[in-house]
Amino acid sequence: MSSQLRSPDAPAITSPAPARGRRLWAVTCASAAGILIIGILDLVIGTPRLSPQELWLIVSGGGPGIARVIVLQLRLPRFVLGVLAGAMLALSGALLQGSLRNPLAGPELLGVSAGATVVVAAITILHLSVLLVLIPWLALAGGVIAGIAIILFMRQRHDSTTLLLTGAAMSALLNAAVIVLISYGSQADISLLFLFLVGSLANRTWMDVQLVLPWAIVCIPLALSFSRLLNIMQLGDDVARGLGLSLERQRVFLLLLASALVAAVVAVCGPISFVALLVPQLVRRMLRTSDARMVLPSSALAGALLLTAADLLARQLFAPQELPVGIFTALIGGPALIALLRGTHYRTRDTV
Amino acid sequence: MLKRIPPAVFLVALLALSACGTAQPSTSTGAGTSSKSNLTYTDATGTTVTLPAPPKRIVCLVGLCEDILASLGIQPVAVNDTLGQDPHYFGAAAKSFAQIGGAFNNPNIEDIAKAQPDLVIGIANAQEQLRAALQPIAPLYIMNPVTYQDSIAYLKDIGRLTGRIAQADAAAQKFLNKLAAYRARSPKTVSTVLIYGSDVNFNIFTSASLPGSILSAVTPYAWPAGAPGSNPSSDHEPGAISGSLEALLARNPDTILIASFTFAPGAQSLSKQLASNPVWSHLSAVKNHRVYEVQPNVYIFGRGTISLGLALDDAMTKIYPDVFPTPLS
Amino acid sequence: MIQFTGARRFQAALILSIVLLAALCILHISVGTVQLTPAQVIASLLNRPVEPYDRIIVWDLRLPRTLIALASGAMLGLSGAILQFIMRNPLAEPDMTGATSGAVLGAVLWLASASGGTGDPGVLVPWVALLGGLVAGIAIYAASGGPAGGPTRLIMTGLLISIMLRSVTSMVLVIQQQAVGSAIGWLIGSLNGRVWVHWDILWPWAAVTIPLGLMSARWANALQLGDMTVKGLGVPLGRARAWLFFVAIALTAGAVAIVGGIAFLGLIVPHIARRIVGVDARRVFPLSVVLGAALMVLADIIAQTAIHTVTLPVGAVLAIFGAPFFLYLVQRSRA
Repeated sequence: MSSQLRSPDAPAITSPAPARGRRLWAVTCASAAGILIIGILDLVIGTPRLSPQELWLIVSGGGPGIARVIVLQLRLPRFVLGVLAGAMLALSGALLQGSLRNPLAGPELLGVSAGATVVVAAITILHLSVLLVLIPWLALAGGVIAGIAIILFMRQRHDSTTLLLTGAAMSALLNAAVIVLISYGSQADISLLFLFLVGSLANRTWMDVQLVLPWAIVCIPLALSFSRLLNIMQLGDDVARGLGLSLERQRVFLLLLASALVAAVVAVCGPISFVALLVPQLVRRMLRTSDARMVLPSSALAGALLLTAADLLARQLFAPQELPVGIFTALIGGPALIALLRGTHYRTRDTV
Repeated sequence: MLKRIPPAVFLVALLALSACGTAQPSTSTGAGTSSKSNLTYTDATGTTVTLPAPPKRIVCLVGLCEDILASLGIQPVAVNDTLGQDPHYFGAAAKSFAQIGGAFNNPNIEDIAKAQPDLVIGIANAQEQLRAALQPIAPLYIMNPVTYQDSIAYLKDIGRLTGRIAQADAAAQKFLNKLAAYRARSPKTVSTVLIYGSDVNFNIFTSASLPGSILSAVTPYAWPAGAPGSNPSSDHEPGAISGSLEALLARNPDTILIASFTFAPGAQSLSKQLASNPVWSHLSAVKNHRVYEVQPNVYIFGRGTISLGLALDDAMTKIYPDVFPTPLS
Repeated sequence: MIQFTGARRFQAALILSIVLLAALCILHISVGTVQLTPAQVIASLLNRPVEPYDRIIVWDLRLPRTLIALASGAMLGLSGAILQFIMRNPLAEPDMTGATSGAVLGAVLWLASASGGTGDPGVLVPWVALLGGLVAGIAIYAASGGPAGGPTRLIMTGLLISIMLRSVTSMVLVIQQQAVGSAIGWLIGSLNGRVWVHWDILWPWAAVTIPLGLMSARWANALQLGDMTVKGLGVPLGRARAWLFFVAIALTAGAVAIVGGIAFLGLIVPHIARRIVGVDARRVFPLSVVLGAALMVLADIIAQTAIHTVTLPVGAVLAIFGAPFFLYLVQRSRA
């Protein structure tokens, strides 16, 4: 049955199973290898630059004190955080695109990112003394509230235009709130906050990884377990309901999950844009399938690869000046998305 | 009908109309200040203004202005912060200064107008936008102190405009004497650096900055100007660069001065936040317990000879407690 | 009982709105941090002898502020109305064109490159912002396939590019941190400090673009009919859409160049106008102009008086208006 799945908005799954399997295998291996390579480069490059022998020495327990500290306490956690964040963002996008059956559904376009951002920005600017562990939960609340409006809308209309516009209005409102908050911050807060607003992995340590890890451990497997459900939802609302699915409840839950994935990342790194939108699209095109059982895990891997690669660029391209990674994902991801989505057919009115 | 008139015509009409109404920007690049009357000044934006009379009612939009006026013995008619209430400046008398509302970069113009000033003093990269709005109210003097010599120059210039040259010279000399005294008696064996911020993304002052310039005059400063990674024109405070623990570790200063920008009562100081980073404990300053929290108002926001003098006293007693157990008075 | 036909209703609405606008303007000139009685205000306006700083406050600060609020509100209201007609969707708002983000980025780039105290950048910023808004809007139009692309593609491209532009803006402010202080005023949307110099730049732009927009109402009406019908009627679909889009960009860029990034005015005003006078663009457009002006002036009055001793930026007030309005829209939505 899975090979016959068609959906109006996705490329048709017409390739035979063995070819798909081969492609999946290829993509998975390439991503994993890529992540490994980037990881090594990440640990080696920087000031001080290490040779592979030195790196090996450090990894196996020896090595000069300062280099050891830098590699194990600064570069390694940053890399791990990049992997986790990239995977979580990509999965979030895949979940939203699958459940809303729209290639344009992504946390940044739906206002989910903006919702999480405004909460974190408020905490930072108003210097609210909130327990560090609580911040992702509060960000989640912000993201969910923003997303709920979208869900409410989707009950009535399903077309891309409405989706986009609703999300845009929500984001505009929340972005305005963030800017106002920033303007009343102190002189120093203002510039620090702009760094946050772009999304960055700089200066993140194991503490930040610890904050994100529980969310990753719970949400990533949970997201992957929804693959079958997503496949069913792609058949169309009527079919899904006919199969006994409570569509609204599932959509809300998927939104919650997607928001959770995004909120944890925003709480630690700020809103990194376009990874969630772009990666599932790329993966779907490379695998030439919309089968969620393949798209979800591949998206996670590809997202990790993309974000860590972008971060390495961000660190080194204009060394010693460091740029926030969010600027790379925006400048490269944006045009890439526009080019990718050129050929896509949009539903401009309801069809069910 | 719409199709017949080409859009180009409208564009031309638009440009013509807008050309009629444009006011000319009132800038002129002032050359030196030598052969000017005592009522003419050229400020940091290059704008030259001639005042009709020595200014008596001055509105301060930045701490440096209050510092300068305190040295000159003039009270501002309105201010936008509470810096002046410190006893080193105006003390309790400052409580009665009118307050200008709005944000630091966007002060309420009507509050300024209400004070009926002869002169408004502000700082670059924040308030030079206000010149157009202040045109009918009072002239604007924009300052941009990058080193302590700049700060003294502004002190003397304001002193000249207000006719208080003697007080200005006295205050400048007092500061320079203090600086020379510290420089003479400092063993210059302990290096230091000043960092500031409110969370893990902190900034470092190079020696080409205002606080850096006085510190580097009296003790080795771990961050020379023009060090890799520094780009003076792009910095938040002139001469400050964004910092990282890796970079600090590379230079490993003997002492570290930290100015935390925290405003909520329960917020953690920057040193506590950085302490949670394992790299922090590898710094020799941390290992020897030579990390000191300092007051941002005095080191960073004051910018004038009074503040810088206080900063000098504070820094030297911390860095060389044996040589300077109490500040040189 | 008077039967309100469409035309009568429109005329009544228009006249009432203009009266409302006039009242709000007078109120606006009267409010501010300095307490002035209406008598003092009128005396200043009529050049009768008053305290010197009363005159300055009324003539040099408040009057230009009111006029700028009026003009920019009118431009944004009309721009929103035009966009909602092009997109055939009640949720479109001027930021879709990218003009807002482009204008803000232009202003920030200029301030960043000019910062450091070498000359007074203030007067040129609105021009650069205008240019930025126009360039961004045109780029979005081109990237979305021009006349061939449908509304959805336009919206999508606009949104994606807006996000990109905002990221670039943030990055510029990260790299050139000295510019942050001056740039804040452009990011939020504020009427503080807007004086005659800014009016001089705004009024010619408004004087040309607002009539252009009003004259395009006929084409806007035609676009409502659906692509096939429009072609059948002989209206050049692509060119009509392009023209209207360009006018909307021009209106938005002009307003944002002076007051900064303002959201929601373009969303709210056409809705209200449509509820009052129906779907005929020849009625919705003029009413949007007047209502837009009125809403902006009202928002600025609230901004100055809501919290004692604190002046909010007008963009913040409009955003606060926008939230419940937006939720109301969500509730009301019908397929």
